[in-house]
Amino acid sequence: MDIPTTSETAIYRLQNYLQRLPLSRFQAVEILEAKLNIYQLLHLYQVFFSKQFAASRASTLPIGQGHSARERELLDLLYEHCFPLSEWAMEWAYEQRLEHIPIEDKGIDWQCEDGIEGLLDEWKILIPLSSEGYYWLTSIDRDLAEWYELEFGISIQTIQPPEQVPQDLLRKRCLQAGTPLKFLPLVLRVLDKNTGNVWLDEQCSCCYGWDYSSKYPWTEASIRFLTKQWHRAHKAIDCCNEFTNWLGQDLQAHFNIVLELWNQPYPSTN
Amino acid sequence: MSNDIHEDKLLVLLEGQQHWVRKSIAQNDDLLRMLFSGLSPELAAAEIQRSPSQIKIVPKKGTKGTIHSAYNLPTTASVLAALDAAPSQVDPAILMCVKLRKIELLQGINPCNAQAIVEQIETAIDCSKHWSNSVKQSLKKFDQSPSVSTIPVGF
Repeated sequence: MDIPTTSETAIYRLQNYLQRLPLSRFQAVEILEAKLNIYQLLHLYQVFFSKQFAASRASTLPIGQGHSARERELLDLLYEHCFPLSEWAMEWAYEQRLEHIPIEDKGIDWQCEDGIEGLLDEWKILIPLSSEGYYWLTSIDRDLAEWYELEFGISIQTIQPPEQVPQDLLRKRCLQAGTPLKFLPLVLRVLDKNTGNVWLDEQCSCCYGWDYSSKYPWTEASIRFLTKQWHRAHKAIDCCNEFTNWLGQDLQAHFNIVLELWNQPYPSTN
Repeated sequence: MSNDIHEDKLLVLLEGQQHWVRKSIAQNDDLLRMLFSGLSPELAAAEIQRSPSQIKIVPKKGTKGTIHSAYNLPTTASVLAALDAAPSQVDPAILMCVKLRKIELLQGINPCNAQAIVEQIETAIDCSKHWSNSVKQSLKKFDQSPSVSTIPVGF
């Protein structure tokens, strides 16, 4: 038996004497799930950052209901080397255990409460070209189409509905138009939250509730998957930025170029 | 993405159906039987056939449907005797709690054991859930079976 080197360690270990046996399997499973979280994070630290783990002297003792200093080191390393972790998650880790890997939306969430207000004009002007956006402007409230017209001086009537634009043909035409127009289909998928990438499609948990947020367990497979996804998301964000920066340089003129491409007649598929 | 999901699991075949089972359970015959006995109690005695490419569970053939089965119905006394003789068992999750308490008393939170403890906790939680399901199924069967009046000894 190792001799505890600090009073905190001794107290933590002696607390095991005081603990009562779980009275039911539910209680036992609850205790085990909390312990599992501790050991999963310590295991992942060793798997993904073995050198840093070997050099670390941080305590492994949980602080209150939160993560231990050693586990929080893992969160910092994941943030630094693998994928983004939100500020709230890092703060939360001091007080509560993160039961799942926290996923924060890194895409565009204009449908979130007040989301449209904070959206940059170069994104806002593209809303009628996205399926969700066109539906929102034309089917929810008549005032919305008027709002768009007032904001950008463009009537919705002059824009071809997205469902009438064959995506494969649009992609082909955008590719032929070169950079940055070739990124238009991706930008629209980002607006529709339809990219297939967890970091770009995540719904806002504040608006939709926790039940709708992604829940990835603390496993090696999850970390590898989310890291790979973040690399792809990062590239996609760069492409979107290139497109919207170009659009923002001369919003009206450049959007007219986009509209010209968008409104080109497409051969009937019937 | 499906490969990522099944990364730490092995494919187990039961009567043509595919089941992805966590490696820590699939590699152990007893745990595998315990897991599948939740689906059907007779699988507790099933044969496990292993080959490099797959794990197969073969249920043991019983007397179900044979002409003798009607004459071999257990009596109340034999059922009570079997229950009496059965070893008392504690839920795997409760056992694991006790084990972990002992480990942490002696070593505190020791990161060197983290992987082994993760596997043991996951196995205990899985087994506990299957235990609970099989108990629920048994109780449901008892509930649905026709009542048989018996006169206890001494009355």
